[in-house]
Amino acid sequence: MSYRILIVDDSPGMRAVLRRVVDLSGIPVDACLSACNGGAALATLRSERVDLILTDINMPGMGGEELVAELKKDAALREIPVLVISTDATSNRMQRMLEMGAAGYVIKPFQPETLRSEVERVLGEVHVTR
Amino acid sequence: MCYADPLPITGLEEGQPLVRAELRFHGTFSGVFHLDITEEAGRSLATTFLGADEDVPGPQMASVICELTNMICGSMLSALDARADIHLDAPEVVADPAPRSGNALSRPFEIDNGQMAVAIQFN
Repeated sequence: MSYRILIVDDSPGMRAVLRRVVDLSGIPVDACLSACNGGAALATLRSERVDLILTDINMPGMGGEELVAELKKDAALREIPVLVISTDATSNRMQRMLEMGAAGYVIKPFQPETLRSEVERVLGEVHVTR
Repeated sequence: MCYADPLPITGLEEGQPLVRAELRFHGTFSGVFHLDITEEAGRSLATTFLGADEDVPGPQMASVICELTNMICGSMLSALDARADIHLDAPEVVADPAPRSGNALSRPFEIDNGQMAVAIQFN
């Protein structure tokens, strides 16, 4: 099975890095889509099938926390797993995002191996539930 | 991502073209964080970060320096208080970096192809 991944980050450089890590990971990826904030991500999600969302938190416009809240309110989107990738390593923020329904939390800067194993773990859970 | 091995130094050499990114933060702590990096080091870092074969153009370098600023500031503030509630604004490159206030805590480093300094000032 090939997966479709949506990368949500306001930094073009970070989007490029995440895409590169995914490309080099060996995980079968059919499409790697991108959005610059939560609003753009929701627009993409309403027209494209996506198996996993990788999102930053602090973004201009709709941030990652609001994006997760909006996804959980939408019956068509709430099952898509969200992996948060953020510089914010405070326990309050991590706990809040996981309680809201994020599938995982990776702190930037990260080792490519850390991200790869988290993506594999979350996609493995997707695979099992299908 | 990118890996650098910064060595602490006593100060940045004067007269070198610098790129400065600025990030304001609010919440449990509020203030401003600056990253100053010599242009050649910034370009080299951005090229490595993006895995590019050739030097990246200015806007891509600025984007990477802003992301680096975000990461360093986020790490510093989280390390200061792991239970803090902090919001980071989007970092921006400052066109004409002015001398920093004397109240800022600053630390300069030697890195590949140049120098950089981080500085933080709390309100």
